[in-house]
Amino acid sequence: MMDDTLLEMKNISKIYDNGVFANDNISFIVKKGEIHALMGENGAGKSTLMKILFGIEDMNEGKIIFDGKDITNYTPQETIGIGVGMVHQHFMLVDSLKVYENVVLGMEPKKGIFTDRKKAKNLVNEISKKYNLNVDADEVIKNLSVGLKQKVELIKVLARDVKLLILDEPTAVLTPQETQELFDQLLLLKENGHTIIFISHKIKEVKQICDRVTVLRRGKLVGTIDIDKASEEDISRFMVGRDVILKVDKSIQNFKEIILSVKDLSVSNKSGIKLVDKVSFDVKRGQILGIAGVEGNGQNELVEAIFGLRDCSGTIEFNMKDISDKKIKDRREKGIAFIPEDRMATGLATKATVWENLVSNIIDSDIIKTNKLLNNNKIKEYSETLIENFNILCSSIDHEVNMLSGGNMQKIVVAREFSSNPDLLIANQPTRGIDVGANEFIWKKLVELRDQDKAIILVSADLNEILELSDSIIVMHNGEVVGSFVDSKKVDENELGMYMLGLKRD
Amino acid sequence: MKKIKDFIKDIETLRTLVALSVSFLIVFILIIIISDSPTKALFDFIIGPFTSIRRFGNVIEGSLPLIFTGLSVILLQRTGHYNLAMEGAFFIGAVVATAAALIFKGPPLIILLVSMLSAMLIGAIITGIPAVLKVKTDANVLVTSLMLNHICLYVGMFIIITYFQDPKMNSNYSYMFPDGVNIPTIFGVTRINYGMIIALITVFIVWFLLNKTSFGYKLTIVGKNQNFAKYSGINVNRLIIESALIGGAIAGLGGAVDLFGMYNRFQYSGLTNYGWDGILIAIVARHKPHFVPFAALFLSYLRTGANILSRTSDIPSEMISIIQAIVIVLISAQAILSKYRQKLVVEKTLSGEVI
Repeated sequence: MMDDTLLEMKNISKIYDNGVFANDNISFIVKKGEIHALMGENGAGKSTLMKILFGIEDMNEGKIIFDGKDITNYTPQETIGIGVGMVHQHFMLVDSLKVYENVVLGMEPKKGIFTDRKKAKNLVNEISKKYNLNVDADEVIKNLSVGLKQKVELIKVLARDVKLLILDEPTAVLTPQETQELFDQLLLLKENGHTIIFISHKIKEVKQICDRVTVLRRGKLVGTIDIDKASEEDISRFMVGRDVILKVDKSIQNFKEIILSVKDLSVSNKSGIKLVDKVSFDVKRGQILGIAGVEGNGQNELVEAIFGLRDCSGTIEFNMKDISDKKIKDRREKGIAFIPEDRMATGLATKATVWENLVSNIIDSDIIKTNKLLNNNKIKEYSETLIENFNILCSSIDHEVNMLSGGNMQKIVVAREFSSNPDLLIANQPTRGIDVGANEFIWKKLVELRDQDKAIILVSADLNEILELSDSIIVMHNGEVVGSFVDSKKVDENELGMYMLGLKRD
Repeated sequence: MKKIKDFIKDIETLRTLVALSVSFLIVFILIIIISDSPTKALFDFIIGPFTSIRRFGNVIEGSLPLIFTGLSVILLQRTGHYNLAMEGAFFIGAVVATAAALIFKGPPLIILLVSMLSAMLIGAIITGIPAVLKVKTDANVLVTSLMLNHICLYVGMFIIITYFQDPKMNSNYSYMFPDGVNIPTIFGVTRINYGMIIALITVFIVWFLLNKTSFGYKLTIVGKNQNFAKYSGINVNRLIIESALIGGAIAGLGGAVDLFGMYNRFQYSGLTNYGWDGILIAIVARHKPHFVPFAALFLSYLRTGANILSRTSDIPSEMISIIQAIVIVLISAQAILSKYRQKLVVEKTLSGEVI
């Protein structure tokens, strides 16, 4: 084995119980002191591979060597013990504890039987100074922004003397400015001799800070290449196997009458904290209104309230009528459809079959009934039409939804919500975590709907999506609308970023 | 070639069969160890239930209450809550049916109908209570329904002892039902009665409800993902209560049918345990109503065999509790055959089959 190899994963194969080939004979090497990108569309097998490295998932075949040691059968604890650390996409922090308490959790420095708080704080301050991670050790986690929470995660991992640091889509929740800051810190870490695996599907970012990139596609290894020898287009072709530049053709905007008018809408959580604070806006027929913002700034709560999934105060007028006390069923019947943020938790019943998921919004209607009773033939016909129109890949409508890929699951949600031909479609993160093909398809469908003079509210954490699709944009920060742009062409990524961070407001 | 999905379904069936066979095997071993004449004991246990019409009749009549409670459990658990009040509902159903039969005067058939309807009503009320408490106050259904079973037992016994106890009897038995207030038998020798027809009609109704109506569809969806149901515009709370009401009505009806079919006066001295058996039936039938009669017959067959065993040999009939426990554990154990299943799935995937 070569001297500069830190991690070698050899011929890793993993097949899940539902017959999905998550990893098919994957081998790759991470060298000491490099930033190694692991790329691939969702469902390509990146997370599975990292879970196998950590010992969270068993593999069917393969070998893992770390720093010259065979760690194939190590448990997660043992893996952490030898210096592998991971910052997960969803933070693993205790919200009610302070920064330093989170960092030393499980490895508290002791003074007698008590935690040596001074020593713990010193540890945090030392690390944050060394790596330029400016976090107040005494602050409580729940008061921190997403960007700061990520820094705490970094400190947590660094405090455990990590040799190999794995970052799972770290920029997904960050603004452009925060991303830049993170990259500076990562480069500093690299200078200090740390090795980093950077999981991402954003080519620009990988190009910016990584040394080499390993690309996976559908569970298979496509290859590892040096970054400076490859262009962005090369990597893109590597990832999807064809040239895809995500753009969408849109006709000139042509707004008609107002269809939804929201006034002073506020949402509070159980402890009375305002998540949405007196938000007002209008949506017109023929308009795609993008709601931009760093995740967790009230966008989700706002659209859930409009659809009736949350209690709120203020008025919601749809087609000139107040609908704020209407049930979800009534709102659906009046012509509102909703693509929820989390398809697994809300958008689908994953243990139910494909057809059961496709008909849930029309179960009381006569479309699938004969003499008031469910008619299997009609259900079959109806479902198969949707499957065909929306290119859903599944071999039978009786299959459980959890056997499908993320993109096909999302297409089921989209197909169902489009099927009622809604006057207003609320799309909350409609393309999160799905492959490029499905992404393109859903974008096209959204624009089609807009061109039929329907209204669309689009919430997305992906600025590219917001800028590409929206006719108009509002930006949310801390539950408030801090900026609104009637014409989305008059604003760019950087300016939106300033609004999203709360650095600028109208 | 078979699709992986169908093939996984086959494995589920296989797992049920393996669980049943393994539990049988364990029982055989126990019998061989304990008994002085194991061959005779084994014969009595397995073949015994088929050796006379009376014994075979026992198998069928014993399955009757189990069908009702099995169906009841399927409905009660459909929305994903563990409502266990079917035990109390079955008991109190029999109590109220007794009261109705002894209070009302009229043609026997009318009294019978009124009694059964009252039993269904009270059953629905009993299982409805935990569901309403869940919806209104978020009280844990498991806890409230378990508590309720004891209330049903003691209130029921109080009613029987205070108002309907026959002083001529030594036990807490009620007066005899009026002439003709019973469910007649179908075959003279056995006690198999027309209650079986009611049971099979109920099986059909539940199957129909769950598979052919949007109500049944909605129950399934609520059970599989409550958030999704709510988001789809389904009134989740109402369905939780409605499914509990129907489940309780079936349990109450079961109590009345058992009472009028098997006895001529109220003579239960405690909870019947048929409700608990219903859980086993629902599990073995994999929550499909049309499998319930078979699961019920199977359990009844085991019981009859164990009964014969205890009378003709040195094996106590408590043996049956052991079998029951083993069957439940094995069928609920998801891990059984999982290695085998993984191996087969891997093979199928490698041979290039699509899902």
